[in-house]
Amino acid sequence: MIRFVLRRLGWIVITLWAVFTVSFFLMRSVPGGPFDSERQIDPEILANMKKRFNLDAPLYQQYWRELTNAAHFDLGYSYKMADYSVNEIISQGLPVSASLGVTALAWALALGLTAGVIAAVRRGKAIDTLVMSIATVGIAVPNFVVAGIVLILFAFVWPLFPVAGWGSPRQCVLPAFCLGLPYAAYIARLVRTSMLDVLNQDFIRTAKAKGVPPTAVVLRHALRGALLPVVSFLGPAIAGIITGSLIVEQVFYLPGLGGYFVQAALTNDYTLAMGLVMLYTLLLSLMNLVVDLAYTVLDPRVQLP
Amino acid sequence: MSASNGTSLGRDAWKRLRKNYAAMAAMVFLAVLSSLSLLTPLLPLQSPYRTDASRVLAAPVRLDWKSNGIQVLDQDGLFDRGRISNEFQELGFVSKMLLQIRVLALGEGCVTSILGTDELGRDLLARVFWGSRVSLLAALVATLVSLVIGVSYGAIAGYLGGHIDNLMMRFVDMLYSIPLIYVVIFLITFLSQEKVSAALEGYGIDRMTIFFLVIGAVFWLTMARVVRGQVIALKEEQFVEAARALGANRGRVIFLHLVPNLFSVIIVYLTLTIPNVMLFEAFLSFLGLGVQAPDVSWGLLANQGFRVITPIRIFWWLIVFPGLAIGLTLFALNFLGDGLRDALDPRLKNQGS
Repeated sequence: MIRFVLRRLGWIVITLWAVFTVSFFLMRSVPGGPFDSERQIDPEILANMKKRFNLDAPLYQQYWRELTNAAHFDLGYSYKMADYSVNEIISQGLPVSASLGVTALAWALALGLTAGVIAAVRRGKAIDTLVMSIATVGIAVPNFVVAGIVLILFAFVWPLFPVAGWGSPRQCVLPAFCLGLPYAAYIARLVRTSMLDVLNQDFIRTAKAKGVPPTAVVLRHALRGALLPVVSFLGPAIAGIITGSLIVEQVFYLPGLGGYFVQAALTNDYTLAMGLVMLYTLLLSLMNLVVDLAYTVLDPRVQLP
Repeated sequence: MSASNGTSLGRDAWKRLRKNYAAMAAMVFLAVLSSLSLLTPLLPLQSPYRTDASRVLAAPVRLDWKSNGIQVLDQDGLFDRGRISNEFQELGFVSKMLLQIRVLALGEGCVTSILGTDELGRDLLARVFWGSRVSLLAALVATLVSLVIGVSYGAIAGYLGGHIDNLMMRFVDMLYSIPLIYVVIFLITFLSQEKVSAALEGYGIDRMTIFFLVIGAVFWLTMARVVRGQVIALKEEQFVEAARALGANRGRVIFLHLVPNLFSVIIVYLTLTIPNVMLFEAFLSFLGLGVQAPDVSWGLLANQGFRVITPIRIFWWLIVFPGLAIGLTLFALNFLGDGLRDALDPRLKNQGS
């Protein structure tokens, strides 16, 4: 167990280092930079700026300095948003993105599990067909289309929620709904299939024969086994929710990390973009590790390699 | 299946697919869609680029054959005779020919703006149709790129085995743990830097090609894994040994003997990749990082629809119609993909995703 975790952590470090190195040399090989503007800058100011962005030494020294900084979680200064360090931007944006992501994930899990269990228990009935059709639509239709439709319906036609902005729980409802919907749909499909599998197994028949009430059979005995595929889907789901929040934050004008990233990409703000890529790589790898560990807790038969 | 009257894998699958009405409906829809988008220059549409200050953000009008069905609009309106072909600056040879044919056959008549107009007074119907060309092309080209990379990578790793296989697959694992949309955005920003893109332009690679290549380069991971697994299963078979005994070199064995045997697996993953790629193109264009004006794609159209939202007004047609186009296409692709998977590999049926 400990060896497994250590090895995985080792891989995470290697991955982060590779991401850092590749993006560092890509960044340094383009002429653009923090002083990529038309007007002439004083040589003194230029020298100061170079110093601030660690651009005043030979390349290998720059690389080493930035690498040690990054290892101490210091990601440097933003190229384009003057006076902001990447860490400051992250500390502003991360809470927004994280709370949005957690809300979306919680709601996706709640809806997906309920819908999947109901569909499996009522297999072949009208409600099964209905739930599964909605799930297919939910998977196929992109985030921003859903966002557009709910905006039209619940912000304009029937003004229940504000159009954009961040701060109150009401402003979180529509974005979290849009962000979570495809994952709810996917989870519903997964749960239904694995639930049907589990419900056909012998131990369920035994439980029923013992006289366990049907609800308890489904919720206590079957659901536990049916959760396994959902747990392994959580890794990709978290990745997807992080990715999807790029779009949702853009549509609803939320001050999260996704918005900053798009901004960084559009304005060639390399330090910020690179910092965010590394942050997300770290988050994603850690989440995958947690998911793998959770898997062994749920299913004792699974051996860690 | 009797020996005298064998059915090929393809025919067998086709028989199963034909019974799946949802998949067949999706296939018909996609066939109609792709032929329409291929033949867009032939359709009596307005110009997708022509701006008109007098019709900014006009709501959709109902199509009425008697009063406004197909109109020839004169100077005060949209087009005078012979103008439609001048609306396009850059157009391929074939498209130009089609446009000429259209003008000869149908004259200058255009369908009125039944889907409304955008903030510059451009006709949304025409933009959705011209946008479909870019969106579908992006999906196809990027998927082909991912196919080539994924199949070669997986087949080579699986066939060579040992340390090389181990190394190649660790690399894939590593890429899996990087959020690729961020990497792609990073790469696209980097590649569209003026100096870099000027250098690439010298090799004849324009922005659109870079865009296609980069998307394709992201979606090969799953394909590589699947192909590798299949190759490992197949490489000890006798036909491979026979080919080797006849003196075929490694490349020949991999690409002429092994890969053709993976046909059905490849098709299945291909149909699952296409909607993902399309979605990704729409995402990037939506964020303003993909297709750039004056080109149009569905994602870009949806983006423009969202940009004109104000807290008090929404121009619903600018969001609903591009969204509908993307949604229906992805829906059909998903259905066809599921159907093909069930038809080609019945064992996978009812296994969740």
